[in-house]
Amino acid sequence: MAKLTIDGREIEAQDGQSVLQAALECGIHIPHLCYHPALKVVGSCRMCLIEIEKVPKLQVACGTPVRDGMVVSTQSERVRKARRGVLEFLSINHPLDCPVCDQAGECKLQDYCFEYGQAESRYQEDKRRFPEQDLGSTLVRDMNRCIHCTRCIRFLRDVAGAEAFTLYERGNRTQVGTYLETPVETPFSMNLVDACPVGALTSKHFRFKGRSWLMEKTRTLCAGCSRGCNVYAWSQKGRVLRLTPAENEWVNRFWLCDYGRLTVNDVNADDRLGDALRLGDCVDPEAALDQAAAKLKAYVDAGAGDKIGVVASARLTNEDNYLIRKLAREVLGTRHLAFVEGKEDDRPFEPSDRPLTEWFIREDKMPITWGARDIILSGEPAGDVLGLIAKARRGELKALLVFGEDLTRVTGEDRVVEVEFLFATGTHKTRTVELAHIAVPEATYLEKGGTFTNEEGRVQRLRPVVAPPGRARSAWQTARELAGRMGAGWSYRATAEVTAEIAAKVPGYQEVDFIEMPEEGQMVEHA
Amino acid sequence: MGVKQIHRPPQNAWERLYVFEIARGLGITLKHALLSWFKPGHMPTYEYPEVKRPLAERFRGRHRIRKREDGSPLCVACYCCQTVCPPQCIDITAEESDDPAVMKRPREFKINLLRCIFCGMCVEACPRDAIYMSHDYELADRTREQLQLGLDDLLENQDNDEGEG
Repeated sequence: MAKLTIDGREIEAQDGQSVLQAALECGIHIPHLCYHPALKVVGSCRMCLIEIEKVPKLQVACGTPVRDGMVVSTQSERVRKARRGVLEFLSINHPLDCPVCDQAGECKLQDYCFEYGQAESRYQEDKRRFPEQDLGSTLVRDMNRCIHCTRCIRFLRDVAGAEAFTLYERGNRTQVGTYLETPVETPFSMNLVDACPVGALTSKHFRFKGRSWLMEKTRTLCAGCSRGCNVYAWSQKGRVLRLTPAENEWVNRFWLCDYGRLTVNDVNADDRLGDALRLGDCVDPEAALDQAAAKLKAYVDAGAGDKIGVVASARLTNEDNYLIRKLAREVLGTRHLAFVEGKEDDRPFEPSDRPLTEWFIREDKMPITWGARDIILSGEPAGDVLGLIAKARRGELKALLVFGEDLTRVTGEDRVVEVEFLFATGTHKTRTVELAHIAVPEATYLEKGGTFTNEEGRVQRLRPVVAPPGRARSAWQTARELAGRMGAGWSYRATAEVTAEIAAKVPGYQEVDFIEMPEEGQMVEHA
Repeated sequence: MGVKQIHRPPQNAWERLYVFEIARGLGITLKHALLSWFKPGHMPTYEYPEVKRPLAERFRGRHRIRKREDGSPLCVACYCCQTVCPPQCIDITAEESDDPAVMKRPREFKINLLRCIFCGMCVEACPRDAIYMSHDYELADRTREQLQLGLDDLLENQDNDEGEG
């Protein structure tokens, strides 16, 4: 431990920490551009200059380790003057095209110029000019805006394990990019957009879609794989425009893969289901649920409750699966409950310092395979989906309830199952939804609240970001509506009530608290 | 609330006769009637709509967007006006421009004139001096929809008004 004084405030820092890290931890802001907590320190931007007592020259805070008794000033006139100078140099070639730049509003250079810079440029000569460069399917590079902080190079080299970027040419003409303009081929390319402190690297997917200050930012989870990355969903006018990573040391650190970011396209797709369907025709969702419940009740009353198959999914939330299970076991009284799960992944889960390609993206493309096992199985054996479908084809099942899944994707065939009554919920107009006798719309992961249990057994909170299209709702609400119409006195009004019941009933989930859940999530024991 | 008593100044005998004061008032009316007849330019009113009142240079009428030389809008869709607009009557959708030097342009630029308070803050905020408020103030129309300006409405009729940026 080292004790040092920053701006008259005594703080304690761990040995080996830099002054910048120590200051940021205590909430003292030192401006910085090239420093990133997950990247190696280069000290190239000179923005974090600080004055240290008994040191004649100004030092960079990111590259100066803390020492006991150090007295640091981050706001002295000398420091401010030096920062003003650094900014003037950085702005020499910067185009100041903030009105068209996507980074505006979250640009560090813009913020610091606003804080320290001067309004008038003293630079009279021509600025350097480069054409815009296409860097593959995800990125556009605008070299004019680059400030040569090399964060992109360091991210690709040290974190992503894809040494694609380099500095070439010299001095004023220095460029950052791929050699011979080859596209960046890494599944993590869009992290470069977040890593870039200015607007030199922008995302093709988000380009010109919105302005950061007009969007609403909600912390939620990515449903692209079983890692359960924490994300910020940026929405405007009821549409999610982009996903960016939210820091979680135990899950995704600072990163998010391109696949995960682009899952937002599925949510915004044109073929979303907003109305209930009866044999492909739009009907009122309430009437559809009435009919479905009446049909199911007739089976149960005739003693054929066990001839109803129920398919849950690892794509839903824990709450959805819990009430689907309760519907199947307690209201319908069927043993035929299965869920669609993802692939096994035997690689270690924990975040590590190895390249992202080796550990980050999970093989299991379902967010809660493990949660579904905990909740649906709860120690009991359950058949797999293919077994259930085979049974239905043999005529052993009369009705089938499918929640949030497209069975044609599971079987790989174009037909579903020929049963007397097929009920489905779906987020999109899939084959199953079209072929179902009754289908009701389902909300996607950006439109509902709940919890996800990731592969490691970490329960994290999913928050609704935008309203679902039309009359769509969560599967747990559909299950509640069906059960209510069949005479079960369920009284769940909010997701938290279902989560509370999961905590009470499902082994290993005792500690889970929906309201008070910490940002990094809560660990549960797999049954 | 109390009742406030107003004390009128007392009238003298001449005023209390009324008839002389009435005749004086009719005299003033007659004077102006004759003036409007023989010296029409002298009148303080305008014969609107045939004659229009001169406007101050900085008068704020309905918005227009300046064009580039090739006729495309000068606007770069930075959303500054939309951000600053107090009644939030501006709604922009941006898209990629064909011209790499321009980069970004508005695909849609909607102004709800019914909501606009003509404060001029959009003009103030514009980094390109693209939006300005013209001297066009005759904004009555038959339907609400006709008062929702689109990009085409904002770009038309630029030559015959003298709006100021």
